[in-house]
Amino acid sequence: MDNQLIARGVKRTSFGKFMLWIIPWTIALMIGMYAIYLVLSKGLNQTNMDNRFAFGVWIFLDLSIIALGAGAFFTGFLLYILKKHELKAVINSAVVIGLICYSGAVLVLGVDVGQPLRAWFTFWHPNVHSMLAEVTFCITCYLTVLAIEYAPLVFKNRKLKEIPSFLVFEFQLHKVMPIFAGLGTFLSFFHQGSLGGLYGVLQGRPFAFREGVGIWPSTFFLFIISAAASGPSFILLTTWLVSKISRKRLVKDEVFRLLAKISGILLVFYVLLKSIDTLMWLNRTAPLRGVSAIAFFFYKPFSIWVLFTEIIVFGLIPALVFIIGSKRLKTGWLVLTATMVCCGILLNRFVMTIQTLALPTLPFDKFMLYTPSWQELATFLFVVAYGVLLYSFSFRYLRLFPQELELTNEKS
Amino acid sequence: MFPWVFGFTWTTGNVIFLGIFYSVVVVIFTTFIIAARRTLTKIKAKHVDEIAWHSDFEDLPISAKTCRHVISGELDKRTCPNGFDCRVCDLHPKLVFANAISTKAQSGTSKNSQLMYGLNMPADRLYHRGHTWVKKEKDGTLSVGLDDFGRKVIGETEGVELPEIGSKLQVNGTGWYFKKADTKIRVLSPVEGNVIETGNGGKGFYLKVKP
Repeated sequence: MDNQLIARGVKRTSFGKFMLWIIPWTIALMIGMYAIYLVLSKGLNQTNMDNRFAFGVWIFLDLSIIALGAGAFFTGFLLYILKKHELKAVINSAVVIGLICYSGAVLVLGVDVGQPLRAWFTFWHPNVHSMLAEVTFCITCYLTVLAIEYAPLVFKNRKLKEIPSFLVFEFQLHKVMPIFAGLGTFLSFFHQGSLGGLYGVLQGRPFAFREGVGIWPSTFFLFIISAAASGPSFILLTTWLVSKISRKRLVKDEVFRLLAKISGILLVFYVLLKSIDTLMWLNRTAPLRGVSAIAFFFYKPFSIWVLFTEIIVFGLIPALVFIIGSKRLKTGWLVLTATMVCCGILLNRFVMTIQTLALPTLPFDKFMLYTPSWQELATFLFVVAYGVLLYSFSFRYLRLFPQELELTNEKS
Repeated sequence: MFPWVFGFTWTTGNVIFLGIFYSVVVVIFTTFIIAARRTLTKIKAKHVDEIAWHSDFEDLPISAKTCRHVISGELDKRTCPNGFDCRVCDLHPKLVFANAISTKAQSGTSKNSQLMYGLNMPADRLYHRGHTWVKKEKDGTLSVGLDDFGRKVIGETEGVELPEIGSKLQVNGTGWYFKKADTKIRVLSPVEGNVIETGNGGKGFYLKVKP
């Protein structure tokens, strides 16, 4: 039915089967839309957040998908600036994932602030001393850059490129892509860091509070490096997933190995810095604030196993596996390791949001359990469904994997 | 956000923060506008076909972009970086020259004939994807003919319809027609220029073009 829209030479499933895939996700999207409508019309009382527990699953989602979406800027940086041409095989997919992650984050932020129509205040009256003002500006600019990077993929659709202006415009945009890649790297560097920079001012939360250099706490740098380390792993994981779901070989194994190697190198660096940061917090930062750091780990269910899992199980082990085994291991092991890396980042962001707020800070405070409401979970589901739908349509109608044609011809 | 907005102060923080923000916005906007303007210029200059070719070339798998000198055995491995446009290639003239010397040394002639997979593909000319060849003559004109593959595929024809002398050819536009049964087979022109002589194949070329 829609064969004319599908790129030449590649095969896609029938339109009927595609619709069978799309429909459940569309239903999930609609449930999420209803939840968003409830929150925006009735207020944030639809959630289980309150003045005491101001960060919930939405902020955890925001920080996580922005970290995982860093694969877009980092792959662009490696390809267009450092000329790692092997990554041409995944750059289109990385751009789509980046667009999904950042637009999803902006969407959730719009719901989280409660009155999104007043979001323009952030721009009109920026508080330049706030890390979050910088995050807002950077994310807005970077989302614009991602949309511009996505446009050539759309213009290159088999039918759309028959329109001369689209064809030529795509060609010209492609020529200036290194400028956008450089801008994306610059913007991402700052907003990834600024999300971590928040913890330099969170003095009322000694569990998360960090010192650093000048106005930049250690978490500024840790968030940047963790995002850069997890980005390639997320690209590896999603590429493998798409390959499995579509039952097609989309990229050569050497691309997976390169992504694994890059992720491994950065992860080693991150684990080292994170370990030093944790030791400094345990021995200096927390005691200076008059708290016993180790006491925080007596609160169940968040005990010392969380820290061990974050740094060792989901940090050091995958880093070593990638460094030592990126050239030797089968793809399955690389995918499993990439999954562990992504889990590590999710756990870190969980610790810095949900766990931070759960732990008491004042003598009369209690450990607070937080359970998201169905509206919060449905909004979470909305973002996931939106991402799956956008990616599905992009995969079907756009040429996301340049090596697919070559690998399909080899197979036949 | 702007100096005239209530609450704005000329502090270092404001100047640095907003200065960087506006710089980024200007770069994004300017780059986008430059791309848009170049698009309009290219469309007006009728470069759409050329860009379409380059765009399609980018989409070809690596194995389909093998350099012609790999096929002729002169190189082990090379992917064409120039969209099969040997005119702009740095390596092509050197290989043609090296091949000319080598062929002359081996056979005592300088015919530059080369057999590739059973096809005669002389190295002293450039080849177009439409199976025509172009050879630059000493007087600066270009001879255009049909390559061995095209000749074998088309086979015997019942006539040829050549353009008139003085007519203007466009790159990738119509060069000439072969008549076969009730069909007219269109051959693409590999060059742009004015036709100054027609050859009908018997002279070794079909067209002579002044670029």
